[in-house]
Amino acid sequence: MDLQQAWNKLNVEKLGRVPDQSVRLEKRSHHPVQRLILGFKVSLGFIIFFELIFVYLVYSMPQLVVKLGMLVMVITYAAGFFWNYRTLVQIQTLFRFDENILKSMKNISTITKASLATQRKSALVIYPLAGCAGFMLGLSLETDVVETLREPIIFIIMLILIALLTPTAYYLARWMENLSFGKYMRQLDQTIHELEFSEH
Amino acid sequence: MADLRQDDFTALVDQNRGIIYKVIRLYVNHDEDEKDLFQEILFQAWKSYPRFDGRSKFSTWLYRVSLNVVLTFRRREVKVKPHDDLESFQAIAPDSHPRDDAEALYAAIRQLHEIDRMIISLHLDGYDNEEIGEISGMSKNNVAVRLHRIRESLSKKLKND
Repeated sequence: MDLQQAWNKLNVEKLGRVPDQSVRLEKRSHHPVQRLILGFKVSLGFIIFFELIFVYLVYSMPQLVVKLGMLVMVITYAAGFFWNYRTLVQIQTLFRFDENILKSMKNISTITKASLATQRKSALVIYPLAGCAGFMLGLSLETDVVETLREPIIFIIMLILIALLTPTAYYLARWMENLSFGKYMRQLDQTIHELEFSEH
Repeated sequence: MADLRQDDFTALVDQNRGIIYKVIRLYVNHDEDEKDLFQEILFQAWKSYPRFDGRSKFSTWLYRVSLNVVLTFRRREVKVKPHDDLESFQAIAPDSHPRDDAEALYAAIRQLHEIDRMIISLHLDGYDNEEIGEISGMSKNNVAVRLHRIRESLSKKLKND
């Protein structure tokens, strides 16, 4: 069989056939990285929303220890905002398809891993802190927080809460990550490996 | 100004859209996936268009963008069952003689690994090893070695068919 002739015929009869309607550009994307970008934008929106709530609580809560707890949350969320924003800018700079395939794939792999790591680390810090702040906030509604925390049982409950929340948040984030991107990342890395090492 | 740029872009894509369909059909054969991927490629090409400097032909640039998008899209959406290929070919080209050379070649190419499919399609479209290397990111020698293996594999598949 003449491969070239067969290919030309294949091009005409199937591969290169175009529908009758003309090209219409719809500016939307379902690419996995585009979804990550959207996820980051949504996260930034939520961070701003919670930041405003924490700022309000710093001013409105009467007990000093609760104020300090909320202040820690304000600082943590501000750091989280800049961390997420920096990752988002990096993703948007690197996410392009007009480079060679190996480079584009490596960029996508790098930014996806970096953004997932950022989300994982955020979960590790933010959820336990939020749990702790929420616990103190709850106590402050009925009691004096400092006095209540002096009771060993209450303090132990708070420590248990942190001890449970920290690994749970981390493994939940990892599980979600694997569910959403595990297979995609494995396939991407496999293709990169094949492009890089196919001579061997 | 932006409208003019968009008009230029859609006109260029319109002339070269066969390339986009070709790349998509090398990897998927379901109508919905085809439509989704076409729009995805169009959108990503539009985003990259400001960086197109005309050093390469627009068709080569679009080929590269299309391959990049298809290969990095979720595979779940681009996966096909091997036996779908012949049915889809016959549905699209009902006048073609059953099991002719083109049909057999399509079935054989669809059985190749995704990277191999890319290399052989670029090769059969007239790109030399250096150009394939530039598009894929592989070395010229790597392309040559791989191309040799692909041709051998295709010959075997086509003989057994």
